[in-house]
Amino acid sequence: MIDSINPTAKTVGILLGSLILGLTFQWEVNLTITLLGLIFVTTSKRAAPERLLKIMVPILFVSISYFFTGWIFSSEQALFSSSQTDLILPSGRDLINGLNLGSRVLAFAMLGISYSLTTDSKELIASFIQQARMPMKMGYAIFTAVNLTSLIRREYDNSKLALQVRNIPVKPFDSKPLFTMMVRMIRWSERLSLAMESKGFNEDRVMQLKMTVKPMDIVFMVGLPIAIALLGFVVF
Amino acid sequence: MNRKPLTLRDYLLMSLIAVVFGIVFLLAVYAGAALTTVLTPLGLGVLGYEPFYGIWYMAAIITTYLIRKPIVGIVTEVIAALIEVLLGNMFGVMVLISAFIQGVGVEIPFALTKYKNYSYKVTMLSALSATILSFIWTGFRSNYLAMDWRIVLAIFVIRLLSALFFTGYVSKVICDKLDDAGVLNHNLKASEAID
Repeated sequence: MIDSINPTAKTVGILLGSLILGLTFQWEVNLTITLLGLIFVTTSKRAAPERLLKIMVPILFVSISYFFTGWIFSSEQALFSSSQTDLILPSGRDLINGLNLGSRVLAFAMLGISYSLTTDSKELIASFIQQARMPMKMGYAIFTAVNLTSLIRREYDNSKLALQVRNIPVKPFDSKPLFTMMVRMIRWSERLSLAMESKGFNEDRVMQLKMTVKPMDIVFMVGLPIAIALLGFVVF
Repeated sequence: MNRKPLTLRDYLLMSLIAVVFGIVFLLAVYAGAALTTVLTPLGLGVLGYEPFYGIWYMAAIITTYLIRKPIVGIVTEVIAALIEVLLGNMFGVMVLISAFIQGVGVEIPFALTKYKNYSYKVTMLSALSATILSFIWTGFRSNYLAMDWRIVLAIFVIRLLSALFFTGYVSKVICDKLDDAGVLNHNLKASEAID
């Protein structure tokens, strides 16, 4: 279902939903949103299970690290607010605080994954250009960079190798290969823009891919933030 | 102030540089994950990625220096975030807000000098303002109010040191070297602009 939502509507819906989620502080809401995110991803044809698993591992890791921090280093305010609820023993307040923090990260991440894994890159940029008034130049520059990512990665490795063959040591965050890459990127941007403009690229370019906004997109854009607000402020 | 609109070349430069820093940031993600692993049992896992935070502001400061037009820092950060989303970032659309806030943070000191001063003082102030704004945002997102104040202070201090080093110092060194190498073709010579 989420695959067919207009990318701009999906962006606005998930963005507002995430902001409202940020205003809630209950682990029950976070876990419900996590479940909702999982439903979005598992019902999507675009989200490959292997890719989902690959992304889930670091997320679970970050979530666990926040859980431990919330558990071991609770603030007094957090303990006070958890004591207002009737669900825990005094000794379990730190644990609930950890659960709140850990599940919060998980909920944000699941909303994020259900956006990034179910959105087609071409449709996203086309929709931003057509519905969100993104400049054509910006959209195509992003396309270019995304398509050149593997080449840029190879160039970066080559620039490190070039230094090493000259017996110049390269540390993990060394600025020397970065400098080489900056020079290359300046040159590439000049040549690419010349090439694109010589092929007739301009702001009036007509896009083959036409993105439309359907009633279902509006329902998603408005419905998701409202659902999260209801969960956070009424249900739990 | 150079008020000319951004050209295709400017957008391409911002996008390509965002990809380069995306690769560097991937290294930082691995290093941060390793550090988080070590610190999690102590409850300090939230500090794992903080030493590398400054790397993420570097693209904005470098493109602002290279292109020397208003809002370049913000646009670069947003482009970098969009590229991340397209490549499958786990925080999805939230990185767009983070990017916008970081871009504004980087941009403020340059805007105050009307994009005429590119000295260490301005790049360091840029690192500071980016840290403060991103700290407020991540504080809201990760609910720092629920954490012990000493942990929150540690997050801020480590992030600030990282930003001062990577954003304020390393970025400026790279830009000065580019200027010396004669590859910059903006209207203003950086040597004239510095103080």
